[in-house]
Amino acid sequence: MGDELIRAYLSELDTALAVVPGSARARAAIVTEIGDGLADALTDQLDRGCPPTEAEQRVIDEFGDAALVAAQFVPVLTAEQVHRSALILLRTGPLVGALWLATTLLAVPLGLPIVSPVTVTAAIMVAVALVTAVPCSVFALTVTGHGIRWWPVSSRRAAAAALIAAGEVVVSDLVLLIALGTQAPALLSEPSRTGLGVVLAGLAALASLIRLTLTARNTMRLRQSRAVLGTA
Amino acid sequence: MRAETLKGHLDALLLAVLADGPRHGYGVIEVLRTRSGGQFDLPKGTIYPALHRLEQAGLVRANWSQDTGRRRRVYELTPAGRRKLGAERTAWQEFATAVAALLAPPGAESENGPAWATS
Repeated sequence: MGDELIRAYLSELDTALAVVPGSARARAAIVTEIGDGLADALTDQLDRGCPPTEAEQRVIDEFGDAALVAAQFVPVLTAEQVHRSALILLRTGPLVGALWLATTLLAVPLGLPIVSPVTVTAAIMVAVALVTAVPCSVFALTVTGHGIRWWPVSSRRAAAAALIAAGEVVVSDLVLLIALGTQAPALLSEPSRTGLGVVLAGLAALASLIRLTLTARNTMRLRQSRAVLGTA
Repeated sequence: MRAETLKGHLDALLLAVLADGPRHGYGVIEVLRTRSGGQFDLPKGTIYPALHRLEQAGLVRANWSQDTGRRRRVYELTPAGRRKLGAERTAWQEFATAVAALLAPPGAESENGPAWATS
């Protein structure tokens, strides 16, 4: 028994779902699930005595246009992406923040010149990020999870909140790395005395770099998904 | 029945279908169709995104099963889903009662209230 029509339908669905970037696993799961439903529907049609060639077309017609089905999944996939992005920010925030705080606190007894225009700017940026990114992340996480039961918010708006949070984190990480760069000569001048400070600063910089990479990638994906939702 | 007519009620209908026990997507569609006497014959593909939305809201939980030799996603109500269904049922009863009272033909009301309420 051929199933060319069903294969073509699933392929069209997969292509239409691909407009949401970074959703390969979720996309594959959806295609598997719809494929399972199509197989059930086809069996039903055949059991009712429908000729195989006609049964396949009838099943496709019953499921509706693949593009329409995909369009209804776009907000779902976007919400998953927003949820993941917000979760990353909220989970990495305390660790990255603790490393930078420890580095700063250790710099004082080491006598490093931590007060400079750059470090003060970095401190202000971090404070701004804490005040905006944390609430935005919590909001995005809530309205794309179980919280949507009480607070129905569109995926597009949730993505906007996640984008604000991600933007704040990217800027504050960049400013922190620049600030560390200005302190590097003093930090490395006496490695025997500042050894622990160097290790902590290195870990903080590494943590920020990893978070920057993840956040920058998520930001691009969220922007694309939001654009798709805007045109849907 | 047109899909637009069901807008706003689909979530409650899906929760009601799952109240009897876990079902996979196509099972949900079939129950929806048969229990509505064929009235709710929506494009089948549109039921799946609705089930995923309910899952995101924590009203249903989904697990992959391989009982039939084929990977299939099985949905079941969560405790929050049961509570939501209860609330939806109550809201629907109140709504239906109010609409029936207004739409009852003139003269259908007795001294004891509308004919439908005393029968």
